[in-house]
Amino acid sequence: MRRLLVLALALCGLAQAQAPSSPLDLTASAAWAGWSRPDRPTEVDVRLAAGQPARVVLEVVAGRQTVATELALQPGQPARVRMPVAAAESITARARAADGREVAQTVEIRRSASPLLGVVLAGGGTLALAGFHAVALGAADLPRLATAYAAIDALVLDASLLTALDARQTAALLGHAAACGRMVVLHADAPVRQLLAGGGGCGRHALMWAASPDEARQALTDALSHRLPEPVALGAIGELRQPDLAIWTRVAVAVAIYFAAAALVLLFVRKAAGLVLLPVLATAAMGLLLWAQEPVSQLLVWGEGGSGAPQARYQAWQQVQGVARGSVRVSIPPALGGSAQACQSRQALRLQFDGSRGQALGAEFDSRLFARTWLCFAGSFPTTRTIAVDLRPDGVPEARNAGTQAWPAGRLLDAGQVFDLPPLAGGARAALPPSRPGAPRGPELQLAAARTGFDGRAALWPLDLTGAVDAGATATGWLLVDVAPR
Amino acid sequence: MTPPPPATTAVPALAFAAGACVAAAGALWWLGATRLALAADADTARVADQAWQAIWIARAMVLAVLSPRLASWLAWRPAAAAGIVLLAPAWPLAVLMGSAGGAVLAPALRAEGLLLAAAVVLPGLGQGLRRLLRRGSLADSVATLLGVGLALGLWHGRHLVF
Repeated sequence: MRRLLVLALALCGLAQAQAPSSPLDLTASAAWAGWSRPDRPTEVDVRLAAGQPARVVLEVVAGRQTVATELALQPGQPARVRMPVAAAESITARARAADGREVAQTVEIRRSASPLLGVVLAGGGTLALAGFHAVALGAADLPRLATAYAAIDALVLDASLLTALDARQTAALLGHAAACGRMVVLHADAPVRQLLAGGGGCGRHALMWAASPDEARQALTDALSHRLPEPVALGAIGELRQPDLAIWTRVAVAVAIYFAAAALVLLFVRKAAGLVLLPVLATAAMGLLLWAQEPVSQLLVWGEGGSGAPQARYQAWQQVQGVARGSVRVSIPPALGGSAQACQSRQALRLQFDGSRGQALGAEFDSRLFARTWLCFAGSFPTTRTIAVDLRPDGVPEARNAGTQAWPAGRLLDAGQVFDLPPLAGGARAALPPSRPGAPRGPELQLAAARTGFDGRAALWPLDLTGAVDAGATATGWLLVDVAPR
Repeated sequence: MTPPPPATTAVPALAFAAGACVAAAGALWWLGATRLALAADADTARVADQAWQAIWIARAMVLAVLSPRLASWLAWRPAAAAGIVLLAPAWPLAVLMGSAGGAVLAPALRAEGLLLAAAVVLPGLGQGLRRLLRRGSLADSVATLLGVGLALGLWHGRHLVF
């Protein structure tokens, strides 16, 4: 009997030892009630809980792109992370604890072929708009990351629901307004109008006000006949995307040195063993050359805004040029981490994400010598450029800094003409001498002219990006300000 | 022991020069095409793969023509040494082009191993011909014809290697 008791206790102990530890609990959902469009981003909201303390790696996999973050879970304190991902047909959220426990959930994304209209009305329901697929949403369906607003094409929002939004939802909504998102706000009072209208100077065809859903539909129908400023596509930046040829030059010089050494060896060496020695040593040297080099990173920022607008919207592109076969890890500029994504959906990419700050810290991807990988960013930043251009009685145009802060030297494009814009203190004015015929026009000026239009008037300034990128990387940027916002 | 004729001492150097010329031409093409591909935002990996395949096939054809003939003229050992010296100048480029290319590395390494094996085996063919035919001039001619045939076969069957 005693033996039986001991055996039973031993078996109980063994069973206890082998019992699975408390499981992870994962719930994932997508913003916009799971709606998005092909090749657009969306946001996945992941809630994760554990019955005991655990360090967990959370990965959200969308197509060939993965967003990963590390979390320290405590019992009774579920973690919640919103991650920006590409709107693949199905997105898998997977959590893996250090002790091997794993849990996963797949979220299906409904990808609309038609433009999407998000409708957030106080009483629920939706409204029909020709050519659009309207989706009825609640306040909780709105994303916390401004980049996720790219999933929809227009939004109708009841202002009474603004109080139901949390701080991050409100910030994302303001970011969307600043980035010229097309939006109709119902029943907006003066403070709400003031809050939202302080956007990027996109004009009345981006942000509209309405007193009823019917009026909202009419406002949207009217606005759709006017084109909003399109984001600058990577393919449209032309010469600005010229690669840094430093790696190519280094390789070309190494090859030239090798063949020069081979010619010298030919003069003095006749034995086969001696002749083979040079290529063998050069092979090792080439391997070392590739191994010792760091990938070259270039950041390019293009900002646009209206004169006097407090916000300017921007697109940014980070080009990373590889030096060898293998995995490359690059850090992402902190100011841009909130909207990082691969520019091409076929690019396999792993983003290291800081869930607490809602920012990508770094990106990891496979690369090769000379291979270029592009990361894309978009958003808005505060700006204080207010410019007025008047014609003096003698016919010479005069620029006036109508703001309070000084601006640096730039260029002014006016109906196809280019003027040098001198640095001006707040309130100061200066005459603009006519442009020199045949003056060099850089690629930034060509892009500015393409964006401004033939009869447009805009000022172009270089952006000061000092400290925006790591040492060794280069950063260039421009801000184009529409002088007479339409 | 009679010293080798003066011409034979230059064989390794000539083989090295031939190999270096093939490699230099390939490198020039690769660097130029890569520079253009970078400017046009085109695929640099394809350029590297094509350049390495071109260098490989050019070396293989030169080796196929020269190796049996050299062995028939000299002997197996100097011909094999000359074959290896002919192949070697392109090795540093293999590191660069392999790093820039998109192709899987194993087939490229196997192909290079195949060339090295051919550099050792083909001279045996030339020497065998010399022993079989006994007349040096006839053996040289047959070895050359055999080499040309091999080179043509390589050109037509190049898609089987990569």
